[in-house]
Amino acid sequence: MLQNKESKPMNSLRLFSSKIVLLSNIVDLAGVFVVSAAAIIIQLFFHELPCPLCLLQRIGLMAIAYGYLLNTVYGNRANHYAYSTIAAIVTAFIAMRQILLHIVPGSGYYGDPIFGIHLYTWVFIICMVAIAWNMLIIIIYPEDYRHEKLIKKVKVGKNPLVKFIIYGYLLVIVLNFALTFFECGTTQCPDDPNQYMILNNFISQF
Amino acid sequence: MAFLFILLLIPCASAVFGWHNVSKVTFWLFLIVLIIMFKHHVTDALNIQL
Repeated sequence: MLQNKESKPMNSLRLFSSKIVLLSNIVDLAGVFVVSAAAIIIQLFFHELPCPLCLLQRIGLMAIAYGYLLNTVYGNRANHYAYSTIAAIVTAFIAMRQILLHIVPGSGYYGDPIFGIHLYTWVFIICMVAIAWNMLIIIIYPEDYRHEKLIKKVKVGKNPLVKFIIYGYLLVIVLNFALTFFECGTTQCPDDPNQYMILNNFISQF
Repeated sequence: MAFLFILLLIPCASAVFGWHNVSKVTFWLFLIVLIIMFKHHVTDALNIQL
């Protein structure tokens, strides 16, 4: 029968590394929350309506954060990182599709570039970084997934800031649903949207 | 397309409220629908069959 012969400093190191990895999950979740909230602000105040591929990428980015959300609520598990990685792969395909649409010189672009790179290229880069990061965490901290009791000691989910990030993330999804519904209703959005179709139809009735 | 956000909201909200298994199943459902939507977008736009 195997016995736990680890010394106290080793256990403290493990607990410390668990806390660092859990903190990184919260930072990742906060990053997606901030980016998604910024996209909503840009959409509302600069009147930049998202195209169908942009919407799919927006949903994909939020789906990447699902794995980090599970880690934050339930503790680190390898399969939580797998959910995040699968979402990142699908989102990277969507972003790559839009990059390829505009890759030929003179074929135009969609939206304004940020730091010299268009948003769909940024999404592709973020997806690649997320995949690499998830793999790195699984490689570096494989022991975290075998020490369930150790992980349960880290109660980060009760922190008010973490609660704010988690509920903010949910709120951003609801806001995105509302904005997309006002933009294109229940059908597929037009390729180059310039108005909130449902909202305008509703207002024009009065 | 708006319903995709609802499909994502269900697994996220159920994870937060402690329904881990519901969350996982609905997330797979969401991923499948997302891939189908993307596939339709590609084939419709290029007018090709994959």
